[in-house]
Amino acid sequence: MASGGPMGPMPAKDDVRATWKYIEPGVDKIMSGLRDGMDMGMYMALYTVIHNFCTAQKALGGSHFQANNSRGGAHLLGEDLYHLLIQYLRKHLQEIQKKSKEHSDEALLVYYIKQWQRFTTAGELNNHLFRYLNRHWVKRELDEGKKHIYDIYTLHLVRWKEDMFAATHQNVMNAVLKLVEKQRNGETIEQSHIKSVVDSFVSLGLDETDYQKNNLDVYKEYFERPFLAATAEYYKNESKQFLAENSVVDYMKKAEARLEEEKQRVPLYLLEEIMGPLMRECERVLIKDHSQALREEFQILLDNDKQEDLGRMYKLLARIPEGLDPLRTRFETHVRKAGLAAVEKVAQEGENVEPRTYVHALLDVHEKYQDLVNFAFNGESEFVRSLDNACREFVNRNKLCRSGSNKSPELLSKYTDTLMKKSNAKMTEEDDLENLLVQIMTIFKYIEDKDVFQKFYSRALAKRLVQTTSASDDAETSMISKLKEACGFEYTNKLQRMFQDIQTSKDMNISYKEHQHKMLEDEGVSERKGAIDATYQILGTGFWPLNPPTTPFTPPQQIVDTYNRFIFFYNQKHSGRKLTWLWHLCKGEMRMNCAKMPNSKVSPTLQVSTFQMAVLLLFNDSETVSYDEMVEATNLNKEWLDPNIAMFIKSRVLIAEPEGAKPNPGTVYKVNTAYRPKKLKTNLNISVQSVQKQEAEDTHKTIEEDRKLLLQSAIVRIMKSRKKMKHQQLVSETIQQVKNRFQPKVPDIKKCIDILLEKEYLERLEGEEIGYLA
Amino acid sequence: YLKSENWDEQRALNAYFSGGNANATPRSASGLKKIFEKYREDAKNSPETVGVEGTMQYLQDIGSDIEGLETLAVLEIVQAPAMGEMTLAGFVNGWSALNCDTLDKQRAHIQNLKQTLPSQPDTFSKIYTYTFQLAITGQQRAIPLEAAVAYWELLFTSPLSALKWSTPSSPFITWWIEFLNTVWKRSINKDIWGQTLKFAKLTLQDERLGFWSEESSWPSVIDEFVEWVKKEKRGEVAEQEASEEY
Repeated sequence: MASGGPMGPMPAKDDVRATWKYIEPGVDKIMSGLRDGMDMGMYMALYTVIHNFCTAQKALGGSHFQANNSRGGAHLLGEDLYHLLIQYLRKHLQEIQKKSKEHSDEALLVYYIKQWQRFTTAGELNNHLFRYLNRHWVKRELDEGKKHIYDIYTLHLVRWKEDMFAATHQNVMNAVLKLVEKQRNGETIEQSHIKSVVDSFVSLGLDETDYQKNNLDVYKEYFERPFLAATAEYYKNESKQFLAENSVVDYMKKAEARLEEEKQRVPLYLLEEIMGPLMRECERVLIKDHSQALREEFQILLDNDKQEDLGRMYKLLARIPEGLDPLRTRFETHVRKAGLAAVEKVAQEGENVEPRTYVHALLDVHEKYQDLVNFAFNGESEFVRSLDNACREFVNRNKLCRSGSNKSPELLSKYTDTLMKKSNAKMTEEDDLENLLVQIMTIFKYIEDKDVFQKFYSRALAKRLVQTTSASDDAETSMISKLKEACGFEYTNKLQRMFQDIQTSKDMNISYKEHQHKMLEDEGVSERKGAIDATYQILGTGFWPLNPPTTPFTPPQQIVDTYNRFIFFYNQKHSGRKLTWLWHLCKGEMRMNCAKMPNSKVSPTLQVSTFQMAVLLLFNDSETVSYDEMVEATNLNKEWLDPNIAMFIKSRVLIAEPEGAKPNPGTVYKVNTAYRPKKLKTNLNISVQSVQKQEAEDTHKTIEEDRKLLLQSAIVRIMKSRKKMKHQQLVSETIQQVKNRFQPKVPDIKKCIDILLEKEYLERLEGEEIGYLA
Repeated sequence: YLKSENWDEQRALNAYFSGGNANATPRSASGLKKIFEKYREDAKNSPETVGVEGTMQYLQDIGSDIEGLETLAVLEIVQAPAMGEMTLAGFVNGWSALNCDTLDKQRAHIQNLKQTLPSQPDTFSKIYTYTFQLAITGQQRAIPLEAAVAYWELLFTSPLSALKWSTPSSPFITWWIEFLNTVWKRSINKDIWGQTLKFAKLTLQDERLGFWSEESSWPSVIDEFVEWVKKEKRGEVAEQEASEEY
């Protein structure tokens, strides 16, 4: 210990000046000459001197303490040493700072980093060397809450920051930014320089309340801020210039690439922390500042179906807040226009649009833009919503719907009917049919007047079932369950019942056949001769959209026995049920024995309605039958008889006398024995055009009635649970309740409220309120 | 006979007491009853009712013009169950509340009414509301349009009316009747009757009908009337038509 080595004798342990004098050359060596090596003996000597100095002060301080004089020399002397060190560091750093001015750009960076590394290494050593000062004087000062006193290492950082960094950081940053710009321009740079600078700046962030901790204040202020500003400036210029010389589409590619590049840059030499702010800054300059130009391009891309570019635009604009909103609006308008245009095109072909053409026109537009949403817009829900809004608009309000929003559901339902009919089955495989039904549901989803679809659909279904023209039970069931899923049990209740009725009727017919067989045997009548082969359908009243015939009718004697037998059978099974015969829906086949097919001995077969059958059977008893005789025998009224006669005349089954005579009393008819049809079976049971039109009108009329009832029951339901509520609220809740069936108009709701007020289900209260009267 | 007479009187008194009228005294009640009996047609079968003839006579005697608004006022006072019909209870209660237990006093009251009615909107509202009662017959829920129009004309144009439904530029009552006869053509229920008064009052405050909106709770007849007035009488184009696109 006593050995001073090359340093000379150790100073008195309480002499500050002497002590510092002894230490200074050592510190100097640590600071600037470390590369030459530091011998252990010297280091030990320095350490000992400082130790001696500090412990001496402690002993002294201790005696003072006993004498009740706590303000001992330990403070003053420790402080002196501390300040002497500060003075030294200042001088040293000023020197370094001065020399830094000789360098610029990359050389400056090299210099700064080298000095920084040297200085911090020295700082660590010094910190060790002055451990006793740290432990005693510094610690006590800190314990007493003194500000601006640091441990020796931190003191080094503080001095660097004050005496070196303050005057240098700007130049250093300029150099850094130049380097980064070079890299952005595509040159290769020494990235580690920047990384070191970042580390240095971070180290200088000292927490004022606890300097053991680092914060990022210095880094943020002197690195991040200028870095972001330079980035913004760089891309601002670049994007402006690029856009001036290139297309928006190319610019989007460029921007996409640049954003990716910047993202890659962060882990290379920047602090991860900068990712957020850096991306925001880039997005602002590269996207937000040009969003107007991008959005203007949007329409052009839509017009030209540039899916990929639209996708790129979506991704770019999705990065900035509210970037997509204007696109959604434009997209919605675009789809709506496309839909309207498609309908317009279809409508050019005239008033009577083919349902298939219409539905497919709607579907094509939907499919095209659904693809676009999925592919380019990532299937994002807001865009899906825009698509839905647009589709709902053009499905319900287009050129063909102008006369009334009922057109879409009517055509959709008719199209469904053609798919479900037997005649279509040959063309459509089961799987395809299922797919077509899914497509129908796509449009159905958008239809506002779902009640109209229901009405037409149930009529068509009734016809298919009654006339057994339905192609597939599976397809029927599948469609009903799809509708049920979309609109609930109530919506399909009747459809389901109709379907059930037909199934039950099938079983019934089988057991009737057995019964009939047995009965005829008992009666001793041969089956072939006495009975007409007949099937029956029992349809529950109220579930079927069918009305009893609007004409009286006397069925021909030939079928009376046959159907009476069935009535007897049915009544045995279900006594007390009343059967109403829907003659106008019945049909049969007749062979025309008096005529022959061309070049054949076979007689032609006629498919006829029961009404037609009744007329034709009259000719079995007489060569000629007068109009009056027809009326008397069949009891049919003019509206039903005349069109059927016309059908016979047109098909040349009957001939009128005098020729061309109108179906009036006085006209006589006879069978055309020279009837030569082209086909073996001829269908005469074709409903007349006017009847079809009438049916559509009737359907629309019942829809109006049903809507009134639906509205009234909704109002009563609401009022029953609320007892009283504001008029306006009642109206809007009513709309809510029925809107999945149709879009009610406010005046219609008010009319229903009027009716309920008059019926005294409701009463008017003070202040626009309506009350419920039980 | 006496017994039955006494019993009858008792009933009349009971009737007005149960009517809860504190001003009536037995003496004024019996005086009113005597007046009532004077006009009664069929003492035996309907001792507590005065029919059309008696009522007309009575109105004449107290100086009330049968065609005038004051007649509706009188019928409201006696709470007539129908046009040209009065009941004993209504008669006694109504007049004793006003302290008019002699024909002279009643006549004076009518004279006074003729002076004050035009400036008493509350009394007018009361008469208006009661008129609906008078106008319905039997079990009906609504007044036939023709009758309703006649009553409205009287109520809204009479010189005694506190609510003359027209302004220099907008003869509402004329329009209303024209609209009812040419467009509406249906009977008038209680709700329409009541809301029409409310509507009329507002039109006089704002004859441009700015207070009206489709969303407010007016019955359809008034909604349709407003649109009719705007289109037919003022030539304003309906907003919806103008903004339709395609």
